[in-house]
Amino acid sequence: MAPLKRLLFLLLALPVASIAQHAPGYLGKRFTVEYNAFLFPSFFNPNSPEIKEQHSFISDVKPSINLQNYLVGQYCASKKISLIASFGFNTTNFLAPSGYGEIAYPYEADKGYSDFLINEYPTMKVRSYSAGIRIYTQHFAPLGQYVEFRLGLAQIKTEDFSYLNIKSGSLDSGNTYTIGGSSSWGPSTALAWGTSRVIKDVVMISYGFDVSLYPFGIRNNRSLLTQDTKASIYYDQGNTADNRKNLNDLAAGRYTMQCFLNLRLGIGFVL
Amino acid sequence: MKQFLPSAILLLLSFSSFAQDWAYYEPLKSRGEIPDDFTEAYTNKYQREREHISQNKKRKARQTEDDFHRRSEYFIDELLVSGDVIFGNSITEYCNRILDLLLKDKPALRKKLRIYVVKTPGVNALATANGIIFVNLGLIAQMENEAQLAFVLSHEIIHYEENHVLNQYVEEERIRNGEDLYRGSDYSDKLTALSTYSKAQELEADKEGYNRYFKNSGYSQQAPLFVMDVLQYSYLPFDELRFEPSVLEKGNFHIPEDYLLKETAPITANEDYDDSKSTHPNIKTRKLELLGQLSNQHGGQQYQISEASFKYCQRLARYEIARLLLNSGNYAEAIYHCFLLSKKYGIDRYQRLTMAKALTNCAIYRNDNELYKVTTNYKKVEGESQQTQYLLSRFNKKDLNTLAVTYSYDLLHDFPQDPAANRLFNRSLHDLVFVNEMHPSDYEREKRDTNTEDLLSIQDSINATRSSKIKHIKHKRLAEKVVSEENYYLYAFVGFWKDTTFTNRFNEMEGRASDARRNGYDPSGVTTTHSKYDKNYALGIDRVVCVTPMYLKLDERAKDGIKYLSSDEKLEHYRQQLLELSDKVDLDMEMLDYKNIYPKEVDKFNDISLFKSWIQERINHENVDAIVSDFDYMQELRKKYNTDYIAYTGNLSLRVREQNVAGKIIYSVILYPLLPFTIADLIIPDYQSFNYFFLFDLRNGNALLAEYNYYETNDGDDYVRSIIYNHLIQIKEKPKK
Repeated sequence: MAPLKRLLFLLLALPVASIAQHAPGYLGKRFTVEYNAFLFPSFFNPNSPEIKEQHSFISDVKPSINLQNYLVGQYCASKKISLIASFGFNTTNFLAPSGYGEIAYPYEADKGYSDFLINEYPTMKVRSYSAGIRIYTQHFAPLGQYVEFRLGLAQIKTEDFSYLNIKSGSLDSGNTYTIGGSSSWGPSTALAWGTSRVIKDVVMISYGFDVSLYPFGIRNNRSLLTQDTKASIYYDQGNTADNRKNLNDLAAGRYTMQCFLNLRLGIGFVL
Repeated sequence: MKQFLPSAILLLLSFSSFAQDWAYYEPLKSRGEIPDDFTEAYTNKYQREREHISQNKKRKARQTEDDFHRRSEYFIDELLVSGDVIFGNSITEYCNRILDLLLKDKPALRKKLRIYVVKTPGVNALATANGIIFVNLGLIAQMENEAQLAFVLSHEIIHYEENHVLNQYVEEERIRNGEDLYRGSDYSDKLTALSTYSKAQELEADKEGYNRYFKNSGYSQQAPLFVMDVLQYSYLPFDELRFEPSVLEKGNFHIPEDYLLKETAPITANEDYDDSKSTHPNIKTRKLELLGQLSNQHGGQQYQISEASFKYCQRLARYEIARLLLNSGNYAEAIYHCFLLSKKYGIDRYQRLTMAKALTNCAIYRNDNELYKVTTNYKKVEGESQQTQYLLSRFNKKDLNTLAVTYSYDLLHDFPQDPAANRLFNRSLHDLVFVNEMHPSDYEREKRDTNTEDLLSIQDSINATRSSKIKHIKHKRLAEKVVSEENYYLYAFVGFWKDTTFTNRFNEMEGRASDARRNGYDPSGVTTTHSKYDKNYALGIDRVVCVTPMYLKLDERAKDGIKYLSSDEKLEHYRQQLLELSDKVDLDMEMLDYKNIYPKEVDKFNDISLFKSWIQERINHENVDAIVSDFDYMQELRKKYNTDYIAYTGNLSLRVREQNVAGKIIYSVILYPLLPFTIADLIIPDYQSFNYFFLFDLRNGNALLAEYNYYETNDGDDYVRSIIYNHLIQIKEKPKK
């Protein structure tokens, strides 16, 4: 049997075999449901659409905290292993590309419109669906330290993005364009470490770290130290297919960095 | 004397109402109402003692005294609830009468003092700062008369009256911290200073004990000196008689001569030993000091309360010590001790039963090649008791098992309806047949013909030249004789074959063994280990008794490591959690604990002690399937508590000192992305915790559940509850089909 098949078999067989065991779960309660907040500082990407200075779109973004929301359901299959299902929902913003080769001269170049102005940062929404297992290393599931492995899918949706062509250095404006929103899917994988505790036999709290990989955004991620991206917006072209795709790619890049490393804090219930 | 006559009569009357049937000796028990010392919570005792701290002292001195009370009350409480301390019985009452006599002129002081007896063979007595005098059974067993016991009590009274225990602690702190005179002292000097201070207190206790209470008590004035002799040889048994192997030779079992030492090791106790690092002065020093007090004192009586009472109490102590030696797995000592008892008091069933238990368990350990765990290297033993240690080391498996069978059958023969004798015989026979694969046919039915051998040996003694033929025949016969000496034990059952009980049971056991081997039985056994979390016990048990759970909180950073108050609080909480979670899984758990019984429930108090001693012995046996020696007392308890199952559990939590702090900070400054993790690591305390849970079957000593959980986390409620729940559900749930 190929190693991967063997691993999959083990992953499936172990929980099934151990269902016959007595007393997995916390005091026999096998299910938990939890809200997790994934947090990490963001230095070059905004977390709100608001732009402080209307005339500036250069990446003069203040540091903020990325927040991702997850609902996690857990089923204690054995004393050490639990199965988890996770649904993530996240709305954030990202920086539109600001220049230096990313901007093509506007369509109305003959009128001198060589710059653009935006009122809001582009908005993106992510919906992620994943499943995995947790292995508890010290205590009986769902208590104590654990290692978690997840596989899933993420949907990146971009909202309509509007901009205005202007003359460089002035507010003399031309046409307003809107690049339409779009959606894309991609696989994700994650590894996490954490600790869960239970208070008064009902309330569950957890904390730890999560490392996720959304590979479809790697080429367009805006890392902590640089603002360069691979995707480009052609501001003279407006709502073209390329622009819609590139906008979505930029969002994917943003998501890749956003989910790469996070502190996770959770609160929930033991059922 | 007249005023003590009524007390003596009352004492004798009380003894007679609790008189022992020595042949069916029952373990020593407490009687009467349980004193508050046993049932009061530790925190209450500590709070009460610290109220006596004078506010006029300096802050540091008050703190030291507070530390002392917190520690000493904890350890005294631990001793009181250990199951080894008894009250209200004949021995305690006798000691109380002596104390009454000594303190007849100091009723206020008398009222403050309480005497309890500690069930241990060690020869010692101890006074605590809060007025308890503990007297060991070993002391009672070895004192020569009442006057000597009275002197020991006088000595202990002074320790209390002069606050020696507290003063010693305070002085130790000063020495340890290098305060005042001790500033700049090195470790060796500090040790010497500690030893000197302690010795001075002991000499004061001797001197003042004599002068204040003993001198005018009417007791024999030579007693204090003679006590020193007793103490000097206290590490030896209560008598020093040459061991007679005939005490073990039953049936036709004869112990070979070379299994016995011709001479035992000399006794090396020296009264002038080097005491420079000792807490007590050597015997010579103490004697010389006492001689200075006794120079003009003569006369006095050896007994003022009652000689009969003294002898009765001494016999009780010695009989109890036989049981204690079994409990602690000191089987060679138990055998020698019972031999001494037989010489002193005449052989009886209890002594024989004790020896049968010792031999059976020795055989069991021998079968497991672990006899060394329950014997002492004979070269380290002095005196006549060395003989039994040597003897046991000489036996191999088959002859030791044969001895166990012979001895236990001899007992059974005299007490055919005795369940204990039956059980021991069954077990020893089982191991002979199943483990050692001995068959009835292996054993001889007739005695060896010694007449021919004797004639031959007489002929050998005549010096004459013989033919080659005769010489070679003799050489061959000699070789045969050597072979038969090795198999001497095969003649052990010669006298038993005509007894149908013996023959039938041996044959029956043989039949069972044959069937078992056909079904693949392997006598070597396989110890199965199971992983920590995956074992699915599902015992289907509805009711258990849980005996004195334990809880300890430790802190590596603290001076003496133990968090006393916290431990006490958590223990109470742990008990409640056990009961609550038992209800949750519908398991009927009865909690037996010294702190939750009423003063009148002395029976329960005694039951707890008996259970604890059973559990302790069982745990000491570890993986060896030895018989727990108190098995014959468990039948009644099983009926009384309506269960065959006993649980024993506890939790320890240790807060660990942070290691390598500087190194962690340095590398996380260099590798600065790690800094948040390092800060988290340094802020969050490190813990190690350990939980254990045993469930034993009282019928056969089987450990139905033996779980140890070690985890590197704190002892949070959720963690502990989760572990307890896991154990309890495993006990309650029935196996899935």
